Amino acid sequence: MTDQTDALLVADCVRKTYRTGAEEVAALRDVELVVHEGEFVSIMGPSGSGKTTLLNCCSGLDDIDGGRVLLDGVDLHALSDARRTANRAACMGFIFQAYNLIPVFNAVENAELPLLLAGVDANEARRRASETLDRVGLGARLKHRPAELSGGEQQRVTVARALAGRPRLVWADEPTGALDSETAEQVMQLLRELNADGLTLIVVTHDDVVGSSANRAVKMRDGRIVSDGLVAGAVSSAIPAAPTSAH
Amino acid sequence: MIIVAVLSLPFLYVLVCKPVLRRLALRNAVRRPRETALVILGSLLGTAIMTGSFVVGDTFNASIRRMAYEQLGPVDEIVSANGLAAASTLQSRLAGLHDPNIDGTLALTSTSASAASTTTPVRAAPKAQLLETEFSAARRFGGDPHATGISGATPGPGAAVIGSDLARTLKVKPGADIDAFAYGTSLTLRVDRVLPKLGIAGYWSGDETASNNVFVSPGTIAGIFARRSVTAAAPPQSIVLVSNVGGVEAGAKRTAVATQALGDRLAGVAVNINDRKETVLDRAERSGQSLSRLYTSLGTFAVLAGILLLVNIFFMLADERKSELGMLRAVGLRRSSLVGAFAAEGWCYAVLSAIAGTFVGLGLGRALMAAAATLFAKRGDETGIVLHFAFKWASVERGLVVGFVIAIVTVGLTSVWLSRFNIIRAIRDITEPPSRKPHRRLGYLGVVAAALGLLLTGFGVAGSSFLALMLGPVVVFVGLGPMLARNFPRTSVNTGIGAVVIVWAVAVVPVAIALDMSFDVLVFVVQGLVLVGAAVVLTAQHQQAIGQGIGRVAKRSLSVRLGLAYPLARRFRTSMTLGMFALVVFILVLVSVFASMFGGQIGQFTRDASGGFNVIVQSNPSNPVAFDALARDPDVRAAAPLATEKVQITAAPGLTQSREWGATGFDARFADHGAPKLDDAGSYPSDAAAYRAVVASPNLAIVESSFLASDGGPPSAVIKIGDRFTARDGTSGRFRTFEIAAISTQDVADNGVLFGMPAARDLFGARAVANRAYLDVSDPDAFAAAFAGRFLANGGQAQTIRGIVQDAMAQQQQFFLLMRSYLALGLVVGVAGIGVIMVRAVRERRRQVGVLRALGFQAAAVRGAFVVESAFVAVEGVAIGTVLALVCAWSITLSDAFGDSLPFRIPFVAIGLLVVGTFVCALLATAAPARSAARIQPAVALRHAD
Repeated sequence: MTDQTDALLVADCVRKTYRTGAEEVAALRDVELVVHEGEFVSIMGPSGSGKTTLLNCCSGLDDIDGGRVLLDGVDLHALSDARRTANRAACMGFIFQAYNLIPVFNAVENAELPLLLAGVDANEARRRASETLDRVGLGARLKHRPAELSGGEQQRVTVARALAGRPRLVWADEPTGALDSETAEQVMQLLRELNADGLTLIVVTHDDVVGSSANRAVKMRDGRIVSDGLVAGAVSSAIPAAPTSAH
Repeated sequence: MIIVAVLSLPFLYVLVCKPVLRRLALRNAVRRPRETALVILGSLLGTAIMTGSFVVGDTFNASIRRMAYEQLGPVDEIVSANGLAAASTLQSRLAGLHDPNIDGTLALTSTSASAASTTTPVRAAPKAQLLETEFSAARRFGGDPHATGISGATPGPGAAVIGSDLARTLKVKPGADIDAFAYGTSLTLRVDRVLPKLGIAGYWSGDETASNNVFVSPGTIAGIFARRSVTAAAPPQSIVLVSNVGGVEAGAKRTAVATQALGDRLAGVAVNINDRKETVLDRAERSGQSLSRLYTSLGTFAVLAGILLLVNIFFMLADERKSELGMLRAVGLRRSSLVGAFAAEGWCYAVLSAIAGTFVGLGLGRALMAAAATLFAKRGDETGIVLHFAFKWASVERGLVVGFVIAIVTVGLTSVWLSRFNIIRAIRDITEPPSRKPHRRLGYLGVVAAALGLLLTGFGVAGSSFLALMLGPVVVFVGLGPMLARNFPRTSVNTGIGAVVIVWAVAVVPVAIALDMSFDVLVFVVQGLVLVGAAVVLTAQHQQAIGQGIGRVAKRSLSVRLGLAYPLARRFRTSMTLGMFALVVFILVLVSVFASMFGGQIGQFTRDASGGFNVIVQSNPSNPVAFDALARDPDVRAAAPLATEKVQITAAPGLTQSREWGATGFDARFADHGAPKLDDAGSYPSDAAAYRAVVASPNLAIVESSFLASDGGPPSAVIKIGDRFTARDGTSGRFRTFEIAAISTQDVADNGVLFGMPAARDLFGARAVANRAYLDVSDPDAFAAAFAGRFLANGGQAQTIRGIVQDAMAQQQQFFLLMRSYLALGLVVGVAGIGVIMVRAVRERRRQVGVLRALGFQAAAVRGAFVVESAFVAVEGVAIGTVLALVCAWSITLSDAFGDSLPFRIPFVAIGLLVVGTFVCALLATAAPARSAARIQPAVALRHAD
């Protein structure tokens, strides 16, 4: 077990098995992971290695079959669905590969959703969402619906949505997977800047370039973490994590 | 079925000869069996409603037609003459009649009578008849002994063979004694046999469905007539029944030629040749068609709601499959092939829904008729219809074809429309850009349409066509739309056109009435469609503002924001759902308002029908109550005796076929004490003056405003003061032509045509006896209750005028209730529709729900958003339908279409129940999909869209 002192996220022996008819697939096998405040962690591995499952289980989007996930010391899977959902709204942000914006909401309406969910006043939510969109370079596109924005712009709205609620932890699942290299680099630059400002980021990717943007790289294979360490040349912005032993 | 086969050919071609398209169509159809079932459920209601409407018509047709078997059998024509003396003339003239169309005659003597049991408590049948005929001859009559219902020997002296209806009424069996009353005397007869209600045994030539027959020994009627103690009594009738070649129904087809032949043989004799069988069969056909038309017309709303649902479902299917359809187009699938695949899938739904809808329609028709059975059989004078469920396979086939054609045309057109998407936008799932200004060519086409609309309006005014008058200006306004939209903002243009069309569709009713136009139920259907269509367009233009208004009120609720966002963003789909709800609610509220307005008329109708009287009494014409003596009764303040009979109206404006109608002779006493109110006294200064003028002149008559109408609702042909018509006595065959001097209000007492007693005597001869009277008594209820027992021997019957009006109103209200129950099927379409739409919406938005849940949206909030969405659409639809129906009903009360005193009333309770019921049902239909949306696991939804 790694040093859990002041850890923001602790995954302790997390197991997840998918059942398809009679077949069982172990997606996560006793995974242990500790993430501290301010870290920029990339989770990498080939397709089917369990990256996204780890994201889903550690963020509380999905249930686990064994182990526990602590966020700020709170066992996520011991909470009811409603409490876990409220916890997500209060502490986490998400960036998805397919943007997953609400098509009938415009940019600012999408970005303000987490704020409204957190119970922020509607006017205040609108103001803060607009500010966040302005910060990601979309100050002039507030009233545009997703269908009226380019892929890069939509992903920026997703980033703004993830940040608007000032979460402690942002999960990004292949954030540049649907973008061209130039736009992808812009988005990653933005994420780096946000991390530099203190945001904790966990990025799931199979792209080495994206992975190298992080300070710490966790590599997975067959549902296990096979390596965990600082990215060469990276300067840790948080308490360094000791390498997690793979089972 | 040929239509179905021909329409199916292109789809079958695709399914058989295009394997790729077949796979696409069939695999998509079976991919989600539960949703396929919902689509079929949504589409089958159109077929069910049509089939149900046709079955209603068939049942009425068959039920009335059954009367031909039960009360006439082999009898095709009835030759009758007043008095016993005419018998020998009739028989001698018809003896040796050899006509290729006639296969037999049967001599019969009849007189009206009343009958009673001799046991205590006494049971009475005020309307009965004594009949004499030779049973052996009767069995041979028509060539089919079974169809005559006659068995055994002719009853001997003191014996009676009675019909099953009378046996049931008097609760007597063979061996029991009964009393028969006629001409001031009574006969006690021993019941020898009870015959079934069939053919000659059930012979009855009146409107009553009960055949209270007493067959007596030949000579009995002559005997009691000779001993009569009353002078003013209708004499017995000498009758010869005539059977045409052919069966019960086929024989009636020869009535015209047979009547001609009989007329030639009887030239110069005062007889009437009654084509009773043909009249009954015609009535069966007419009533069946009329009810079918009524139900089909009103069912159109539900059918259209079903069409909108189908279009909506197909749009949702296309939306869901947009990227795969785009890919198919990108890899080389032609647009026509895409239409083929989509339409072939729709064809599968159409076939299955048409077949299932046919069965549901049969069940629906049966349920409707079961509910209507009591309503139509319930008439105090036993003239109701005993309903027997029946249907023709041709009707079932017609329902199936209509349902299939509606579904397949909707599917075909929707498929063509959907295939016109942009491939790239479809693949990338990009929203279609807002439509540009209409093309110039469309503008010109619109102007041409507007010109045609003007022509249509002109035709409407010149040709007195209400539909043309209503639709003409609508076509003009809509036709100008594209050209206006090229130069002005589209929203403003659509708003303007929508508003103008609504105003016109409301205003047209009083305008048409002012122009003396006739209209029927179809007008309300078209008016409803135009109004709802325009209102939906108008609402769609301003949905954003409506949504923002609601959003401001509930700005802290994310469920409300999300729930409103989808319907506001997808205007087309929302408009379809709105239209679906609004159409159904419109017609339901309209019928409810009418029911309330008519129901609130009891007081007014009673005053109008009463004049200065409060009780109507009737008696047996062969043994009438002595009304002059009754007038001296201390309880009776005034009495006006009337002579009521049946006549054939053989000529009148707009009349194509002679119609049987009631006719009543009255004298000055009727006018002096206050006869029923007139709707139009014509050139006379008062109602009383008009009545007196009619008494004084044997050529004048008063008729009600629905004279010769047969379809219910407003009369289809407008009868005017000064019109002339010819009436023929149903027994003697005498003719008389009358001029309409005045028009009465609703004839709740079934007086029929009113003319003076001199005209009645001229027309009916010795049968012009006072068999009915309007009385003004001090205690109407007590008097009416005691009357039947007091005048049992006279076949006395009495009812207060308020009671008659209440019965009529109750029957009318039941009919409205039945209509509403039927129309509520449309609500099933609406509610099922919203359920289907929500199920599809949940599937369509799985990933979005997953994102929302990931972001922290609680499951309850997701559920709430779906409920808000359906509630918003349901509330808007209900509001549009309700408001339009109220405005429409109010506009109708401005005219005198249903009489000049119909007050506008809003049935708040009925409408409240309807509105709340619809709303609750819509929410219930959303409950399951909303719950399933709330259960979506974010991780699963984000991983798999489906």
